[in-house]
Amino acid sequence: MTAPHYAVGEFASGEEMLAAVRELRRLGFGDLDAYGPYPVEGAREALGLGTSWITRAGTLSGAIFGAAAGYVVQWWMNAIDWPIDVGNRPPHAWPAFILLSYEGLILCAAFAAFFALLFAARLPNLHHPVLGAEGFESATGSGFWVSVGSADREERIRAMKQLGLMGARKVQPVDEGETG
Amino acid sequence: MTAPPPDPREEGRDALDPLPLLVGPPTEEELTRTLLAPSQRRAGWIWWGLFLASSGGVGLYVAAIVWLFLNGIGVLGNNIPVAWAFPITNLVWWIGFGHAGTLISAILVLFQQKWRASINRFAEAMTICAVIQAGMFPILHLGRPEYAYWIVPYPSSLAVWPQFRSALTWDAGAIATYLLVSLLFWYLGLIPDFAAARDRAPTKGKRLFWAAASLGWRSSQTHWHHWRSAYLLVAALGTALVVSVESIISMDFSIAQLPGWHTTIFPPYYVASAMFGGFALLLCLLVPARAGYRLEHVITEKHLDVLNRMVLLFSWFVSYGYLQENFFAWYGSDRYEIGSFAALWTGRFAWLWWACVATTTVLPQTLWVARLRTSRAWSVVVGAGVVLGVWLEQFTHIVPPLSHDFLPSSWRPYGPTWVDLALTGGSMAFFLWLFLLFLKLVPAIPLSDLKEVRHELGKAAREGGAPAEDAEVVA
Repeated sequence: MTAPHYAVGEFASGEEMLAAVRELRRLGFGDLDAYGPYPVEGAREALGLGTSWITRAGTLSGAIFGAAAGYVVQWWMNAIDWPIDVGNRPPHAWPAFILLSYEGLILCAAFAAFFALLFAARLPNLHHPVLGAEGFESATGSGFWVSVGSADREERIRAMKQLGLMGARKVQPVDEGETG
Repeated sequence: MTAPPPDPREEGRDALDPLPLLVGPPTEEELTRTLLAPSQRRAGWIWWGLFLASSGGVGLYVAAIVWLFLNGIGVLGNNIPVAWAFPITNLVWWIGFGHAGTLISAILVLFQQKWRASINRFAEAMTICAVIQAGMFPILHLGRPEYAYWIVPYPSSLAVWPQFRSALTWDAGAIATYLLVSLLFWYLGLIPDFAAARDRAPTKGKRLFWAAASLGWRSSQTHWHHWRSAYLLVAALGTALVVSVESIISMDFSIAQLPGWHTTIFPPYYVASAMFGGFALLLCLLVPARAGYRLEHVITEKHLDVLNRMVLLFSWFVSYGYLQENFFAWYGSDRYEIGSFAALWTGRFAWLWWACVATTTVLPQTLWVARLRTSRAWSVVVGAGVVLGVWLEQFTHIVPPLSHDFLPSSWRPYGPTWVDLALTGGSMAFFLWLFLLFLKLVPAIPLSDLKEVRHELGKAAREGGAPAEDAEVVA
């Protein structure tokens, strides 16, 4: 699959950005994305994103794995492989084992959430074309951008025109291999 | 810049009027500029002065540690029966500070409290610096610290495993988990701000560094969507972790049979005391930092007010803990437990206990007065008093019961040595040293959180005629 040709444009506010996204979606443009210094309310619906299942599923699997691994490790080490009598407590002291299984659950779930995020957001990616757009630094400052990915240049020209019609500034094309 | 808000004291304004959360309000560009500035400009002489002083303290710390390792733990004041004294007190003290940081960051984001937005990274940094201090003491007070790694379950050539029915093994797992998850949570929150630093980096070298640190974050709403989900999940996990770690630490004591230790109030009581100390320390750190870095527009009097309220609240929780343990002793009619607590009120260590009550129960009551809650000087006075009081509280719960247990023939006094004091003071210097590095190198205020808060407050102010619940932006 060839890399899409991107068109980007900057908007003055989050609301304008979202209005543009909705309009572009209505007009049939696919590969849309919006950028801003904080999560804008309504962006999820405008972009058609549902719940973030990847992070939730990742965290849950991490949690189950961590708890199970924590418990099995303790059980095997203290009850099977090398059981010792400590104050006549049973070697398989499951109430005591709960505590570190809990810690294992949290540790693995937290790291799984982090890696699920990286997977879902396709990070790290230091060379995405959009990062090369002129003035894109404002996306982490006070600017709100929209990007449209197109399969060919004609579609991109239409996207750029549309962005301009909606009040975008700094409308420009960006391509793979042109990043800063 | 706009004029500062009218001082409620001077205008006779009702003290119950909401104080502004954000003063200005600054534009987003202004926010970005002022909040990134501390980590982007060169350090001033105050920073250098503090850094050099704390480096001296760290030097003393290293010297004390080397002396300790060369000569063994006989150089500490620990004896029989007081086998646990300063080092374990310091462990509990430091780990407690970490927990308030996580509380502010994690629990408050789950409850959507806006006042957390500007102070959460300070709090998280305080957590990490404090947990590093805490982690050193279990190693330092070992007779053979070179074998500290034996507590980790690895396949050893000695064919032995650690014993998981012991609270000390639980401690190792809990503190390690807490440090790693705190670092992860802190980093997760920092990714967007590293990207902002990348976009404003003055040199190519710094740009590459921030670009790598931010993993190529594009501030895409898709990214934010997944990021928010991951952040809230890790926040929920962090919340659960805080309670478990502090409970495990308290069980070092409560699972023993010693009168004065063996009480079920310890887990919740230690959690409360941890939060208590942590909020107080945060105030001690925030007041100078906001003045030094000119952050009064984002860390406002409202934040001081709320943090002081939390100090007051947790003072009551901790005082309830004191009440309960003494009540249990009396109600249980166990002569050893009664004797242990009676010795605390009137015995050898009573002066420390009374100082503890004065600083943890009595002093915070001044915070009922609204004027004092927003006073910078008083916040630091109460904060420092509570930080000291929490140390005294840990100490008087650990050493006096050991010193005064079942048989009178076992009773022995305890006194610290210079090594104990140097390790305690050294850990405070090391904490300060690490915290100063954080202030210098990392954006201390989360930009995206604050911009979101600003946006929400502005929207609420525009839409309503009457201000919404938190719409406290002062124009």
